[in-house]
Amino acid sequence: MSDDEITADLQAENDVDAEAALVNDDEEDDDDVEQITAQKVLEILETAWINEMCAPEILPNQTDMLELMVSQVSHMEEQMRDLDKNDFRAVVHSMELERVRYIMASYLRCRLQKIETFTQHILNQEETREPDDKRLSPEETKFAKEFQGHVDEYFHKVATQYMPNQQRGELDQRIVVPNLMSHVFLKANVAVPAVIVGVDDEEVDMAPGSQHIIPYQLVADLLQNNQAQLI
Amino acid sequence: MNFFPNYYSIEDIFVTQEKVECKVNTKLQRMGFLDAGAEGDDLEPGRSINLPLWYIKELKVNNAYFTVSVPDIYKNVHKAVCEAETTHIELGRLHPYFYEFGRYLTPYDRNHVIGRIIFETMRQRVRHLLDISKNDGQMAKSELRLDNIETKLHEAGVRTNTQYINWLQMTGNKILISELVEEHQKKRKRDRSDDEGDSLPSSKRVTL
Amino acid sequence: MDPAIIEFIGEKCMISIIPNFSNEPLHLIYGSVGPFRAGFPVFVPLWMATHLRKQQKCRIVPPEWMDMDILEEIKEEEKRSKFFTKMPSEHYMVVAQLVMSTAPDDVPRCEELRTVIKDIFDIRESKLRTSIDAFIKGEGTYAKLDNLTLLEIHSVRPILPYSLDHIARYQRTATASQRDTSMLSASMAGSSTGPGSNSLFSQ
Repeated sequence: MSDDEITADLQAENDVDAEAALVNDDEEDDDDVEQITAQKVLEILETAWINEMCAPEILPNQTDMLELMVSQVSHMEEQMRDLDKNDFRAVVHSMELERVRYIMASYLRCRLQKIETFTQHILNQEETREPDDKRLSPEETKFAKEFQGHVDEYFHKVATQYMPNQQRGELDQRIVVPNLMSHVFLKANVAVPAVIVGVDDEEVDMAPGSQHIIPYQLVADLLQNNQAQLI
Repeated sequence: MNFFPNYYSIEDIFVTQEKVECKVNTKLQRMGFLDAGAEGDDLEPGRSINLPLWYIKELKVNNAYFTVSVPDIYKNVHKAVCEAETTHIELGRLHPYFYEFGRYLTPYDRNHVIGRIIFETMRQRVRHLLDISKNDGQMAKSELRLDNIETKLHEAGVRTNTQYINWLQMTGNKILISELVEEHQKKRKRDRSDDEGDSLPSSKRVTL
Repeated sequence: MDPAIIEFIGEKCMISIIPNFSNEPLHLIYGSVGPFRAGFPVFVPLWMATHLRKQQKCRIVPPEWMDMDILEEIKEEEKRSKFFTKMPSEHYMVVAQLVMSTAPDDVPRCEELRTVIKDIFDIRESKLRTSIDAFIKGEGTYAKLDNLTLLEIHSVRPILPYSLDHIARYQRTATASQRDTSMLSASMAGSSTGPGSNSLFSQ
C-alpha cells in the first residue's frame, strides 16, 4: 500500500468548521468554513501543554483541539493497520503517534492534578464565568464536582461531624488557592509594549522572542491572547 | 509545588503550633491555669505566659488581653542583616521555621523590624543557597544551618543538579518503577516474610 | 520541566541525515518529510534521525555549527560578552547530546566538540548565576533572560522561581507592615519611608 494513504492532512478527512476558527482567526479570511491543519492543531496543543505545566492556575481547556487530534490519531491508526509492523513507515508513524499521545496525556494529567489540588477554588471560579468562558471541559467539571463531593463526604464522616458547628463553618478557610504571584519563565511571541513587571508599576516593553522571569499574574492575560507563552 | 501556606499544609500547622511569649495586660479571671507560676485561679496582669501561635493569630494586634513579645532571635540577627553577613548564621538552630514564624509575628512587632528582617535575610541567603545546591550536597548537611523553607529550596536545587548530571550521562533513560509500586512491593515482601517466616523459596516471593 | 521533557521538546528540531534507502515522502502530523533517496541528504526531526541511525538506516549529518572553529569562536564570544549570546540552535545541548551519543562515528572530532560545548554551557550557567546574584541584590523580582535555552533555564529551576516567590511574599509582608507604620508616623511626624526604599532600616 502506498504511504500516501496515510495522510496527516486533516482537511481531506475532517472538515473543521467554525469551532476551530476560534483559535486561528488571525490567519484566515472569513470563509464560511475555516480549515485548520493537523500540524497547526498539534502546535496549539503543544503550546497549551507547556503553558499548563508552567502556569500556577488552570488555563482554558482545549477540548476542540484535543478532539480533532484524537480523531486524527485514530484515523491514522486505522490507515496503518494494513502496514507490516516492521515497515519503516509504520514504525516512524507510530513513534510520532506515541509522541502526540504523550503530549495529550501529559496535558490532561497536569490539569487533573490542578483540579485535585484546587478543587473548590476552581469550581467557585467556574461559577462566576459565562458559559463561553468556562475553563474546564464538561468532563473536567463533572470530575471536579464528584471529587469535591467525595472529599467533603470523607471529611464529614471522619472528622467534622464530631466537631462543634463553629468548626464545620470553616469551609472558606479550607479552600486551597494557587499562588498567582508564582514566578514563571515567559517568552514573548510578539512585541508587547508597557508590561507592568513590578509592584511599583515599573514597565517594560517586551520584544518578540524576548524572555523574562516574572510573577505569573502580571502576564496571565498575555497568555490568553497568545501574545506570549510560558517556557 | 512550592510551599504556599494553606489550610492543609502540615508545615503551616507546625508553625502555628509554636509558642509565643505574651505579656498579660489585664486580670483574666480563672485563666490562671495558663500560667505555670500562678498562685491563684486568675491570670494576673504583668505576667508573661507562652501561648500557641494559632490562638494568638486570631486575636487583634491591639487586643486588650495580651501583648506579644518579639522573640529575641529576630533582634539577634538584626546586626548581621544590616552588614549583609547572614550566610553563616545557623538559621535552623535559631528557629526551624524562621521565616514563616516571623511572617506571622510581623504585624505584632511594633517597631516593624521583623518583616524587613525575614525579607532581607532570605534575599541575602538565597544566593548562597543557589551556590551550595550546585556545588555539593554536603555543606548544608548540618541540619541546623537551614530553616525549613531553605531546606526545601536546597533539596530542590540538589535534585535539579542530579537530574542534569544523569541526563548528561544518559542514565536517566531507563523507565523506573514508580515509587508507589516499589513501596507496595517492599510492603508485600515484608508482609509475607512476617506471615510465613522464611518457608517460601525467595524466587517465589517476587511475583508482582 | 525536567531534562527528559526538555529533550522531548528539543527532539522536534530538524536535522539532516543521509539515508541508505529510498522511499516516498512520509506525511507526519508534524509536517511532511522526504522523499528519501539513498545517499542524498534530507531533513527529518531529530527523534526520527536518532531512531533511523540506531536501525543503521542512515548517517547523521552534524549541523554546521558542530564544528571546532565555530564553537571556539562562540565560546570566546560568550566569555567576552556581558550578556547571553544567541546560540546557533535553541536546543544546542539536546542536539549535541543526542547526536553525539547515538552517532559518535558520524561526528568528526566528537570528543573535542563534546568538551567545547560543555564549556560553553558551563560559562553560560555561571554567567546566569552571577546575574541572578546581581538581580536578587536589587529591588524587585523581575528579570530579562534573552537567549537562554531551556536546559540552561533548567539549571535554576525550580530553585530560582521558588526563591523569588518567597522573597516576594516576605517583601509584601514587610511592605504591608511598613505601610501601617508609615501611615501612623506620617500622620504624627509627617515623614515616611516609602515601601520601595532599598536600604534596611534607613529610618
